Amino acid sequence: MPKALVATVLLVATVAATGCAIVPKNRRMYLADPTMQASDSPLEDRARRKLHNSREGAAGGDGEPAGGGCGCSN
Amino acid sequence: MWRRLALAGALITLSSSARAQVEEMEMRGAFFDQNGHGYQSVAGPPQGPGSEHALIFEPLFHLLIKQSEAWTHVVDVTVDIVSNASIDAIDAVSTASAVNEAATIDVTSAHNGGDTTLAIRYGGHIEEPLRSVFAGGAVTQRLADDNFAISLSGLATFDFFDHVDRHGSQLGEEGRQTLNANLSVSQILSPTTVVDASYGFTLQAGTLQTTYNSVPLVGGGRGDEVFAGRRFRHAFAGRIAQHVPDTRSTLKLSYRYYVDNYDLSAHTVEGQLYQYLVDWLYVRGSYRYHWQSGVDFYGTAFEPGLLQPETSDSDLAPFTAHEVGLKLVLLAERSPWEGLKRSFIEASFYHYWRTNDLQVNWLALAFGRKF
Repeated sequence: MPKALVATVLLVATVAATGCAIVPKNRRMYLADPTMQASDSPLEDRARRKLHNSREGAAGGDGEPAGGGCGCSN
Repeated sequence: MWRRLALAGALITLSSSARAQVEEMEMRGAFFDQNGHGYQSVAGPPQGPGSEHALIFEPLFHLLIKQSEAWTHVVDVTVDIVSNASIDAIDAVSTASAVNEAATIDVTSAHNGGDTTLAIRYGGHIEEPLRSVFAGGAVTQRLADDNFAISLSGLATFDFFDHVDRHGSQLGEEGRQTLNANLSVSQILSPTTVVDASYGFTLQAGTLQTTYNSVPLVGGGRGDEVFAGRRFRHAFAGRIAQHVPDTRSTLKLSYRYYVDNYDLSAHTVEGQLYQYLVDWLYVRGSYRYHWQSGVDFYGTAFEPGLLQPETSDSDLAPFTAHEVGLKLVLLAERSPWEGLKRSFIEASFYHYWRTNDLQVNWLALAFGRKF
């Protein structure tokens, strides 16, 4: 199962990196919409991440490590 | 007024140059009401499960400060005020109003030079039994006219905490070290589509168990929680965001796979649907599904005297979790009200529940402003 997932991630990354036409900056109006951003709000992300990391055993990765503060031993 | 207040706060935490300007600020207040039971808690029958009830108030603050054309600083401050908090769970049986406080400051200073961004991140966390510092860095390279970006980051966290045993005695200071590395890529696929993928690795060493947690013993009584040594965590994630101009909707789907050497694996899927009601108001509905297998040394009763890893922490048990959320965002910068220009107001509610008896209701209100 992990090998399949690694392969899937690599495939997506490879396709993303090589297989796309370039979208010029003057055609990115919709990409600039607030709803299309990677994060709606850094504070909302932080609060939600803490809720999940301190109540689930699968913290770590995703740019944020496990450890530090309550729920750190999960 | 907001600008002055925000800048004053920034100067307390950052000695930036006189030209520094606050570009944006956000204040958020979140309230959590948690109910449920877990076998690690002694707030209940001797053999458990005990109560995991907690009320949490969490004020959060965010500042983006522009020091120069190249340098920016992001300062996030988080405060938690927790009733029946973990360290106080020992006396929560008799002191239902026990309260713990925690605070975190997290600063990211970034240098934007053309297609490359270099960032350093540093900060600390403090709560009743624990002190923590962290530092790291990140590099992001944008390619193909910013259609593609690749980012590599790392973070080291050092926790120092009092060893409070399950009887409430303090047995000196212990430590825990965490190293984390991440690789992520982002690609614009079309004028309405973006995809992201990432891999993260985390290594933890030191005292990993919660020293005041206990496990029920067969025949009565309780023993200490013991973890299985160093922990290696891996997380793979992917996400796609699609905007639909005709309906003014956006759909985001994400998937995450997690696995570690404690034999815990997890699948997490989340969907978010944004819908504009008018130009300056949108609603977001979300659903998150999480399944985890549990660590291989989880149990609800252990034979006494065994020298082996054992935990009854309900967070490490096998379970499925669901979360539904609803958020309303007023983009005041697009609104007809001049006084609110460049601001946003947000209200959100989440209901989170696990199949092993834990529920959390979460309400948040936020206000932000760009300058």
